[in-house]
Amino acid sequence: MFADFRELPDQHQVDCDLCIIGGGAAGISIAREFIGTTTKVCVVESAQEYEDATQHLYQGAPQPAAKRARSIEDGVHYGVPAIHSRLRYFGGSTNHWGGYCVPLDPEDLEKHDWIPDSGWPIEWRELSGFYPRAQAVCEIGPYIYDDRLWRRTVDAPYAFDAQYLVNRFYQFSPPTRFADRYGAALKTASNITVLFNANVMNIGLAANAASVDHITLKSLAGKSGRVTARHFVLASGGIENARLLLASNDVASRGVGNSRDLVGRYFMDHLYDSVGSLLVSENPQRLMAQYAEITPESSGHPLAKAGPESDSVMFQAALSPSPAAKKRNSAGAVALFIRGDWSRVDEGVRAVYEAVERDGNSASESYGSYLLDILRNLDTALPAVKNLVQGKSPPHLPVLFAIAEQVPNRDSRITLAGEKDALGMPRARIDWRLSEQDRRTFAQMPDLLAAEFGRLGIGRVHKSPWLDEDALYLYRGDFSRILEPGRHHSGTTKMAHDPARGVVDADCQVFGVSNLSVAGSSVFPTIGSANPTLTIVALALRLADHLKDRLSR
Amino acid sequence: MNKRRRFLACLTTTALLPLLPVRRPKAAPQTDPENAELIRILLELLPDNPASCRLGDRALRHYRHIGNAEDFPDRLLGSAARTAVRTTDQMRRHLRSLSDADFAAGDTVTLDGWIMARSEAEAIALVSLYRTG
Repeated sequence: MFADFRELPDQHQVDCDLCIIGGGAAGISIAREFIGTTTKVCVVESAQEYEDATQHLYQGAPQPAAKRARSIEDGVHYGVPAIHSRLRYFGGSTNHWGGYCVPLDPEDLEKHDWIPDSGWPIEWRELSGFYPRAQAVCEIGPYIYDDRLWRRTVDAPYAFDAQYLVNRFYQFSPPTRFADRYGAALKTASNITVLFNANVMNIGLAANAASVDHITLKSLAGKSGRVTARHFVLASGGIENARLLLASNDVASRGVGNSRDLVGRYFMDHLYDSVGSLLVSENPQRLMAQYAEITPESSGHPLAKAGPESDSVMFQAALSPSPAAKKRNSAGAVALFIRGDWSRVDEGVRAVYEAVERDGNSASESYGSYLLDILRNLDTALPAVKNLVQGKSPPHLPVLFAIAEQVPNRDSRITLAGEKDALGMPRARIDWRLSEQDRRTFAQMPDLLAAEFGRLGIGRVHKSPWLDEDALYLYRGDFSRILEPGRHHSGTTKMAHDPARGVVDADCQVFGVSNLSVAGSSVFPTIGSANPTLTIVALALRLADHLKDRLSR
Repeated sequence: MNKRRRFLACLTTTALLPLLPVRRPKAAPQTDPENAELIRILLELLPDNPASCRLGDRALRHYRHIGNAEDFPDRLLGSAARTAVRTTDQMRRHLRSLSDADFAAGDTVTLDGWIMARSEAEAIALVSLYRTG
């Protein structure tokens, strides 16, 4: 059922078995798993629909002046104010996600000597088994993320040397708006209550601080209440999870689960930017067929569905550095998308194609794997590169767009500010810090691509000027000023074997608090280059299974 | 100008002479006769447009900066080229095999942001050397 906290009596208390704080991708995925069970579940959510006043409870504290140029909270993300980088209403950020689905790589979970604080406390098989179920929740196809997806769509894929580059596949969710898609099922479930217009103010620990006794609620109109439960799940996003734990400091003075000063640390986000552009010397149609978004026709393709073509699941391939390359470069993971308007091929490139064809040469043998053809194009290419530097996208020079991993950084963190929101909760202050290793993660790509594109005669790469070490002074060594954050807030309650290294254990339970778990990307110890939603859902399903077992005892 | 002044001016000029930049007359570089035909083919192959000339100048500066501008003709136009290259098509194939090997070895050079095989950079530098003197 749905309930409105504003219509309940003041100081009302809800009693349940399982209380889920936050109705986003993680919270809804867990709640669904309990539909029809004997477990009484309460999902606490700030609003049913978007409201400005509720959204502004997410407003972060201003950054210190020295770091104000670009930040998670005060910057601009894709043309919208940063406060909208997450959404505080039913469905959470699935109300505006783009639908990119991709699992982490097995090596993303491993400990790497060159990445400090890397390594998940769970094995790949403990996560991978939940991806197929997560695929269904996100309404995508079967769990296939390899070149089987090119069957019937790409005739002759480029054979990149797997020591340097590997293909990475994405499936696209419609995208599923979790509240729209699953809200009705939760509403009709007799054992589930979704309590709207209730903001969690405090996680009330028992006197011995070893368990949660209740959570305190407040509406924007000032009404108060509480929820008691046998178990609580905090699922309110990578920034808010840390904020709530830190702000709940009435029993544990440093906040819940924060005896080691780890809550809020290791704040990570994906880094978005162009690493360069590509002067295509091959027939661009071949590259397009391989790396553009593809909606398979319904002819035996694994992602094709019966009915109209638009019902099929769209997929796309990207390029990533191989594990060996990342190790050689002491760098993190990257997914590289080739973007461009392929219908408007550069005039210079077209002239070369035509000249080659006029001379009677076969395209596959003669296209500009030769320097000659490249140089003939530079007259037109160079002004286009200038446009690129100025932030304009030349349609005829495909852009090499990267989504890069930020490696764990203890000093990148969420803290509480002195300023308070409309409910009296301290605002979050986000000190997002990148490292030289993060710059190296980007910088490895142009050289890897240039070597392989050159070797295979695809074209030549122009490296983005910002990756030049001589340009470091332009952004005073802090390249968070020039990058676009991915809005995938992660790492602030990281998972670990040991309470000295993380906030939650391998089952996502807060160390030292027996009935409190955390769901969402805040538990990710490392983020790889994968968009997080599919993994958030997979981990939520894993936690749901664990809680079902636990609550049935 | 009195004698003393003329003497002082002459003395100053003589003292400063080693410090003044010497402007050498522009002349085509010395070419190994065996390479001359190969360079003619290379010049014929590589276009004389402003962008490639600009990039060639950068390449030449790069190789002069690292001090081996005089060495790379041997690698580019060594014994393999002398026996295998008689036409622009053969030169094209020769360069292609060199650049393939460079790319496979990750032996690249970045000029104006363009990441090129070392042999490509050497080729355009060599062309620049012979076009501009």
